[in-house]
Amino acid sequence: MALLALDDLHTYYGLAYILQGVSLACEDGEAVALLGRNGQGKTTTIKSIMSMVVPRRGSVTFQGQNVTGWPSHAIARRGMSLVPEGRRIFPALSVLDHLRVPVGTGHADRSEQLRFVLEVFPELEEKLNEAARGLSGGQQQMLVIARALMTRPTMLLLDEPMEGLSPKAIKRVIEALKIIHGTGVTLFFASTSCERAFLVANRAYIIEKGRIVHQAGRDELLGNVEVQRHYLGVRG
Amino acid sequence: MANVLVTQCLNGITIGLIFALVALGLTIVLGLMGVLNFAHGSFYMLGGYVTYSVFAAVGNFWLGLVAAMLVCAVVGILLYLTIVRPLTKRSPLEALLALVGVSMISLQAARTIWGPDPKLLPIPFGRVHIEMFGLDFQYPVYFFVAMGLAIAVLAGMSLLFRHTDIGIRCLAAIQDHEIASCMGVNVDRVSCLMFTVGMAVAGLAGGLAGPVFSVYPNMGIELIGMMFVIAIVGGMGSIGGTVIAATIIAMTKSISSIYISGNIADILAFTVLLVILLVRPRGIMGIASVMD
Repeated sequence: MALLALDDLHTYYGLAYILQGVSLACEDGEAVALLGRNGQGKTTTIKSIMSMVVPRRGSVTFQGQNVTGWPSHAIARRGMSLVPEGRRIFPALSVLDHLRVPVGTGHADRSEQLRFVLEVFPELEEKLNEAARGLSGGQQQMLVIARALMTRPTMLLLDEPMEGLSPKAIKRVIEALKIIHGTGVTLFFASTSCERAFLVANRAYIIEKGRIVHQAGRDELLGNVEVQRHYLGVRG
Repeated sequence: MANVLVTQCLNGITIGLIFALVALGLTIVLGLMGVLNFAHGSFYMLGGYVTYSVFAAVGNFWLGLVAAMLVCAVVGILLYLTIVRPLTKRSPLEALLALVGVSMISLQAARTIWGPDPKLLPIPFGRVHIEMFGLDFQYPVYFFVAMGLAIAVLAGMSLLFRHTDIGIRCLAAIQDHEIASCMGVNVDRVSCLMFTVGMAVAGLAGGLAGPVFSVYPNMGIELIGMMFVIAIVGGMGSIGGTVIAATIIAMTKSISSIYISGNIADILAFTVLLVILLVRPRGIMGIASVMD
């Protein structure tokens, strides 16, 4: 059984019809990318999974349980955590306070998890008492990944985790995601870049105009320039 | 003249701290739920009346303060569960209108139960003779006690927000409730708790204000406009900003009333706050803007 399964998801913002029947699945331990150009429904898919917007039709099944429309905090406590688009730090909180906000999945030992998080992101340790708004963009991205990890999730959703970062910061984020994935956490992340996504992901779905139009493994998609050009705007 | 000035400064600080207690709950509820709690002043009034009633029954003012906090907390939970939570989920505007209704009902209920005339609470303790630095005047000890109590409660709230998980989660939810929720924070439960604490503190403020202003049906409604301005100017979720804004307004009113009439003093005080809001849209020490 898939760890996460979306079945025929239809999501609207008011009258705007965004997701028009999205179905996809992630197995336990996978790293899966959701690829697509801007405005195709990647963020809405992630928001629908976390109930930040409730789908009008279809279902989200996580760990065998239908969680469609559950409150976001209940989904988080079940083991799904989010790294949102645009980072969305809490500007008035310190780095350490960010790591105190998350409520764990019940079996989480917070001090042990904090040690793990600071091993993955040692650059945060010396800034624990600094205001999060004073961090660089790359450091803020590491902080929000660390914040998401503090719930001790079984699955991490990341919305454009490399967007707007310097090449050095992107390298660090990729390294960190590989470590996190190596501990058994399932990754599902949205990205506009096929090349960057496959530095972490094993396979990917491509979304266009609110529908999944293609799915493939890493080698197949990287070798298929025609699909990349058609759906992702890659020049080949 | 110096004696009058110092007396008015002390009055300004005492009244400012009482205002800060009222505005604090308002700013937290506004930040967490996006609701202007128009009924907040009713809890200030209810606290005053409960304190008066307990004092009239058993002759103990301090027991009255404790009862005021407890009664306001219980009524606060009921109000949250029956009106604030369900209506806020539908529309903050509907919640605002319902809370205006609650404040009108409570005003008429107070008139019916306690009558339209002000109830006088005697000022506990006597007066202290202050003679130092060329000053020579008498001042009620109670005002110093009220200052100390208000400072203790505000410091307690500050510790709650800075050093406890629930306080930090509340601050996080004020800044971004959607993301706080995605981090497993039950924002609804945090809101219920903070609403209850805010109402209890407003009740305490009403009780503390009793001996200063007397207790009367309109005391909450008269205050609510000023409290909104203090909450917004102080900055949502900021205890320090709320205290500063409340003290600015109370001191401006208190000191300017020596030289000009009370109504003009009010105009002056609000003008000062509006200028601050124009210069700093997030308020003096706000962690999130009302407009966000």
